[in-house]
Amino acid sequence: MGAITNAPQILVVDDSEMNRSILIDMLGDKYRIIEAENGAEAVSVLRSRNDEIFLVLLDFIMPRMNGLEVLEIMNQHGWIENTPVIMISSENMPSYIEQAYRLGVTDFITRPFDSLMVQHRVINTIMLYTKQKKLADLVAEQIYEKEKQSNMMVDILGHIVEFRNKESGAHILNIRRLTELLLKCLILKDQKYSYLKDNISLISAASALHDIGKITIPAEILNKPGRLTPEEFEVMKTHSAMGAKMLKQIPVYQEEPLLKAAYEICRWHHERYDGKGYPDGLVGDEIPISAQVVALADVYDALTGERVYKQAIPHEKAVKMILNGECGAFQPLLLQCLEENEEALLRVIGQVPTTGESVKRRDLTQKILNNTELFVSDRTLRLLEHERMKYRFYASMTEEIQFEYILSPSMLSICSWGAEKLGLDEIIMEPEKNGDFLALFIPISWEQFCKQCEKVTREQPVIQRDMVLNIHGKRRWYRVICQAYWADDENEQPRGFIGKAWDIHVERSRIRSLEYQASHDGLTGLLNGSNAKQEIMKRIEHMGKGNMALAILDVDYFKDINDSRGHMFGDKVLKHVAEGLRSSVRERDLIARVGGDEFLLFFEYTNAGIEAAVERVFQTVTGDYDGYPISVSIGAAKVENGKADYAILFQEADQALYEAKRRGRGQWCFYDDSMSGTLSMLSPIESDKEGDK
Amino acid sequence: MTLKQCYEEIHGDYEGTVARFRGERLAMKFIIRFLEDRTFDGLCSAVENQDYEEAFRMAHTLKGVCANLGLSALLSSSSRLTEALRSGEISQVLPLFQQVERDYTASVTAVTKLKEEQES
Repeated sequence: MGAITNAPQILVVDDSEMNRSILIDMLGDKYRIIEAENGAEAVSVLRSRNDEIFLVLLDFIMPRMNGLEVLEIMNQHGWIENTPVIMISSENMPSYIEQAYRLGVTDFITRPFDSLMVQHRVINTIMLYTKQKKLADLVAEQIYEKEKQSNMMVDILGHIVEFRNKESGAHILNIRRLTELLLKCLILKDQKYSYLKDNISLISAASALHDIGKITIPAEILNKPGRLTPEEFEVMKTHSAMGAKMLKQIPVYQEEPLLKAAYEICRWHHERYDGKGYPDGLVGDEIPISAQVVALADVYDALTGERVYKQAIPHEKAVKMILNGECGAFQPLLLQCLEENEEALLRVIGQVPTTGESVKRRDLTQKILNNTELFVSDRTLRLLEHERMKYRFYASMTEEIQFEYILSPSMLSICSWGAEKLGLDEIIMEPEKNGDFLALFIPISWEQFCKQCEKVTREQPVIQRDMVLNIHGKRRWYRVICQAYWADDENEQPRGFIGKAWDIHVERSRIRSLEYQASHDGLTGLLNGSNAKQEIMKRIEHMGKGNMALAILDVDYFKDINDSRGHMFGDKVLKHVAEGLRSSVRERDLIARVGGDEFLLFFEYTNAGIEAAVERVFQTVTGDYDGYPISVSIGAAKVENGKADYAILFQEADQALYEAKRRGRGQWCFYDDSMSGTLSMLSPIESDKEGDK
Repeated sequence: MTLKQCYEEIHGDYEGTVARFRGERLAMKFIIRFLEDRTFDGLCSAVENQDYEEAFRMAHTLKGVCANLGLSALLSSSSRLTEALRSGEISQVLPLFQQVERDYTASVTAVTKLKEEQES
């Protein structure tokens, strides 16, 4: 088995099981075979493990995505770069063949299959690609070696100057890293600097040579412990022009970008943005950007570094001094870069690596990632595979439905756990037209979700939505979070979305039941006082002008009920009253228990039937309950065709209730102006009020 | 009945097929497996349902299988059906399909006989 598990993997895609078997038999046991019976399945396999597959044998005509469509997708994802494809077909129409070649196919196998031909084509293609990959690795390694050596030479040269200058060698490395950092920030600030993107490593390398002209300065001036005289300073100032001159006189390499950048930096790194620098007094953007950046890096590193004659100045103070113009004049965008990168700057000046190795490694990796002609190394593949394994494991543990959607061609892929959960395929072409997929959603919420997706921007690429999904006939709440991603900088439309969805049904019902408990009275299940008030105010607000009435109902002599028949019975009476209220008002009327034996009712009504409604409530609740005569008093207040105010309405109803009690209880009463100024139930004077605990 | 006799009975390409499979063993294995291949059933129901797109794919697949197995007669009739379906000549479909059906039945009959004699 050992040999077999190391054997190259081949993906065989053909809709006929018979044809696949014949091919597999002809290939013999030298390969591991993965089978796919249509294009969609092939894409699914390639998506998860394209870099393990040495070769794809691909049929043209198949259901659910044909061979050419598979090739289109392989091109879009760049899989075709690493995974060769041999087309299998009895199709010999030139247009098909031409299209297949255009899409990067390596070779063809025609039916009827000839076992020798199949074996040779397969082995040749695999060998060719393996060889090419090895060569690519070799070239990458050589580029790295070459880059490493030339960077080293530049650094050594810079160091020699610094050595004579009796400054620490760290300065050269710091300047390089600061220059890189500032440039990376600057290219994002303004479109006009984006061209610098490819020159960052070049300019940072050249920065090492900025003070090379100092070798022409006499040692007694260069290393003078005290202050320079004006004459000495004039000599010192020649180092920038001298450095540039030396570079200009080098007989070779004059057209090399590195030399050109070094020249600019040497000559102009002491110019000032306001034109008061030397040697040429250039103003503003007359100064090449490379020199501007190195000038700022130089000043910043000089301030924050320790020297024989001075202590290190902390980052914050150094930045402040630079911003105040105490150390030169710089262009505002560069100063912004300095201000905004505190953390990264601190890392540069705080810690100096013993070699520049890691920095360069990263550059190379970047280059490889940017360059589709280079292949990823074996190590990267192993790491990728490891990541994928971890990802699959976590995905299966979390019980989340993870998905990816690509807009063009419209294709949804769902993780295998999720696909099984939803009873869908892992790959769905044109999900927006797929009946099984759409059946998951309630149409209106699907529409709203789509609208939300259409509105994503680069600034706000994330969408979250709770929605009900129909899963195997059951409706459950799911939370969906997804994030859009873009293929390049220009395109406004995202390339696709990645996201996940998970079941929040239990959690959601639990929260809802807690909310319900908090807002409702435990005994009667009616709304409680504070929530009733909020709800009524909300309804008043919503309704604006109209007919509204508020009634307060009080059980007469409730204390006596508790005293004579016990609290248990008292509770039963309250429940009975609550039931009566429920049965005698309309669904949309509001009822609440606001105190011991006090209930609140709120009606919105259209015609003049409000008194009848109150009478109906009164009649339903009044009467015999389990041998005990229940009597209630109701005070009510209304607003007709107007805007209500909760506080006033409540006060009026309260006064009407007082009036009903005063008239002998067991009756209802609407507020009128004659009652204004009367006493209120809020300041109880009757014995039955005090007993209601 | 030998493999060669079987191919002769159904006007198949015995020499070519055995050469491509490098010997009788694999050729025999796959010709017998042809009895289990369900492509023809798929073609029947697609034609019956007048689903010509599906019928095209099925005819095309059948054609590929026949080419691989050297079933020359069935290959030629299924090729003609494939091309008629490709170019949308619906009026041609039924007569061409009937020819495919006759060739298929003949092939299956012969191969079944071969299989039975091989097993006994």
